[in-house]
Amino acid sequence: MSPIDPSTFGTGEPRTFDGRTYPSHLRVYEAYDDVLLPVVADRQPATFDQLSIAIPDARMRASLPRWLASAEWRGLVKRLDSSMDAPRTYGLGPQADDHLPHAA
Amino acid sequence: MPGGDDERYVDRVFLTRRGRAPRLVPCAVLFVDLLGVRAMNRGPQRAVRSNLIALERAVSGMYRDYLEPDSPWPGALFSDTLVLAAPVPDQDGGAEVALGGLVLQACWLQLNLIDQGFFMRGALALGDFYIRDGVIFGPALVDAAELEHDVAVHPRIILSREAEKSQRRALRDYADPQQAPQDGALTCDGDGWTFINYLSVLLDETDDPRAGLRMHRDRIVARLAETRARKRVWEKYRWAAEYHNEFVGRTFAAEVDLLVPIDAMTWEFTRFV
Repeated sequence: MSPIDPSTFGTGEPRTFDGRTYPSHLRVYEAYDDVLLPVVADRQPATFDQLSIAIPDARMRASLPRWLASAEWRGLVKRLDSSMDAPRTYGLGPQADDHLPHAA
Repeated sequence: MPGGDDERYVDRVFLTRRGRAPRLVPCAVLFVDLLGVRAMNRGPQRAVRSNLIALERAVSGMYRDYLEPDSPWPGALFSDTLVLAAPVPDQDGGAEVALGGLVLQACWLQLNLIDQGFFMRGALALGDFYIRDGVIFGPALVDAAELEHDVAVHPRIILSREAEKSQRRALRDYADPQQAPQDGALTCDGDGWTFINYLSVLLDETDDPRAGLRMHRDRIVARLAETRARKRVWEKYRWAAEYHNEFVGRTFAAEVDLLVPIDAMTWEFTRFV
């Protein structure tokens, strides 16, 4: 279960149930939402490697760990890990719909 | 098909278009030595098997699979050595991008390995390199291996002087350099070398970083106790304890229970008579 308090999604100041706040150094990675969120949408559930292989731009690929962390804080992605013995797996989070370009 | 969409990443990068011959490519190269692995290969078969499972889990079963064959960060593991590379993209600031990405990869790799009981020592260098199908070669590999062997000493991953300069160049893109990713992920050591501040990625996570810090503290305390009589080895874990306590002091200053206890990391003296 996510430790983020869902009532803080969309406020710009997400917070965990125990009061920890969104790290300010992750805000810069929000600029990659438009490119990286559709990559998660197209491949979910996807491991870090499946996502990184699908990102052609080296700068965005290098930032993927921090973008995933930023997106998880904001509810755009969530962890779907099926086991403690498997690599992390990501899927769309509860706030993803508001950020994805929708087909007409 | 050569050049097609289904071509492997390493073939596209490390083979010439014409002739499909191996070629050296500018890369950021991470070379790490896993401490204590040789000793882990000796002993009862059950213990050796358990160490193999822990190593396999750390390298491919936690954050990500560092040996994924199609990864844009190609890697190789042999004996107690692990190599990862990030080819430098043909764009402005390409070296900074390759290094910055590899630093984050190294942070998670180091945390995962420590979680499974493996501390490491290594170096990150920039230069020409080749890695494909188990063959690794090139000046950047030699530079990183020499720094690991001659300079790193402690369980840390240091940056070559050129790699450090490249990361400092990247800071110029930020009006406030303290907002740059390099500021958190890199730290300067007292001997003048810059090393990877791997604990910093715990602060990115939605999970409570205290759990990761307790794991890190407990692994260090266990190693300090195991190696108490072997001072040269003990000193390596004492450095890890100093690093841990400096990080906790900066991030959770009021939470002294997260610190490595002083008595676990204090040199012992006895009277002559």
